[in-house]
Amino acid sequence: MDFASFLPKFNEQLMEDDLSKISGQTKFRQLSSWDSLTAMAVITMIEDEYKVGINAETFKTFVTVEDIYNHVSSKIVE
Amino acid sequence: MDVQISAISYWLPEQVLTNEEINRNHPTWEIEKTSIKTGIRERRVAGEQSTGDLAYMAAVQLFNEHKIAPDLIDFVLLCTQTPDFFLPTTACILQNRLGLKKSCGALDVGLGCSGYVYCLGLAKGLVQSGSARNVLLITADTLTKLLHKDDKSSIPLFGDAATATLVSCEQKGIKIGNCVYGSDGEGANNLIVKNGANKHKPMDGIDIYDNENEFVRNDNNLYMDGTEIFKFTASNVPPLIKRVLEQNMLSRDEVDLFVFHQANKYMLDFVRKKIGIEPSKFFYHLERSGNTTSSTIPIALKEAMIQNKMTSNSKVVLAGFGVGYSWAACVLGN
Repeated sequence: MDFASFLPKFNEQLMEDDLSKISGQTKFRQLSSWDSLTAMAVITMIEDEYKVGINAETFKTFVTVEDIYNHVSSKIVE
Repeated sequence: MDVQISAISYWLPEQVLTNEEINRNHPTWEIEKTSIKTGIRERRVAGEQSTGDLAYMAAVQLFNEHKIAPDLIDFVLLCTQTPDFFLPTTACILQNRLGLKKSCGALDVGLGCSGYVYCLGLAKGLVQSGSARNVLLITADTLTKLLHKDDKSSIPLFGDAATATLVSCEQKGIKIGNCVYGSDGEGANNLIVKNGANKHKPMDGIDIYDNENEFVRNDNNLYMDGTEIFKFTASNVPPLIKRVLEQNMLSRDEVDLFVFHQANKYMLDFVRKKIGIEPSKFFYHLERSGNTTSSTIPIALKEAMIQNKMTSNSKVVLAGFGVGYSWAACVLGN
């Protein structure tokens, strides 16, 4: 797993006009289309693609896209 | 014996709740932004009309539009979760109001979003067993009466509607194939109207708001945990589709059109992609009527026929899922 392959899968769950602006440093909750449904879609995508389960409480601690990626990649290594 | 859907009609109440009106009442909701995601711009509201009124109008529409004599009907199934009374069954009242014969069987089925597919299976069974030749299947709900005016998670989504379908032994129309079903009561509390029925009779619910003064719930009203419902849908609908295709010995490529319960566009897109269905084979119809629970599938079927997206030769997969939890799918096609 690398960030370059994770980002498009993350972006696919968004309904943003300009996806090119989204990077690892993006604070995803500030995106205009972000809401609880998007969070659920991202969590479900991660379960499907990486077999990593994230509960809602853990997800709340993530601020940037990279935070999500780092959590997922650390769980895969374990 | 083959059993067919030989006609479908639907009826929407006249009162329209537009995005503009929601925005006037709740400027902080950013309804236009929500609309892009839900795919819904208008909903219909029953107002003073009851579920029985809507059901009656849909049945009359079916009889008139398709020149069906009420005498032909020998069973009426009404799918609703918002009946006119605790008792009697609204279907019995409809028998009388529609002028159906007294030898006609009548019963209500208390299911929501999965209800249309369940009732198609029941109607098919009634015809195949020789109990009825022509079943009038009505779906009707007036859910807007149960919504709290400040509930941002339900007001933009739900609308009222009624539909009428003739399920018949007559060999014209589109054949009802094999149906599959499922239920999981563990999810009951995630989509529920808690107060008012016999378990929690007093309507003593209070408005609960969160720290940001955002409405959370009142047990007198519909409560929906959107996150849990999303999780349920994402994990249960893909295996449901696999199962119904197996039961009908079909591959995904042989299906011409998928018509799912129209919950909201974002969630439908998510499950569509997860199953791997191409957009051209997936029918959406949300913009003008919203989520009308058990009526979304027959409304979408009717619209798909009008738009020539399906004919009597098409293979169509229907899937309903939601409150209960309850889910069901079937194949239509000759």
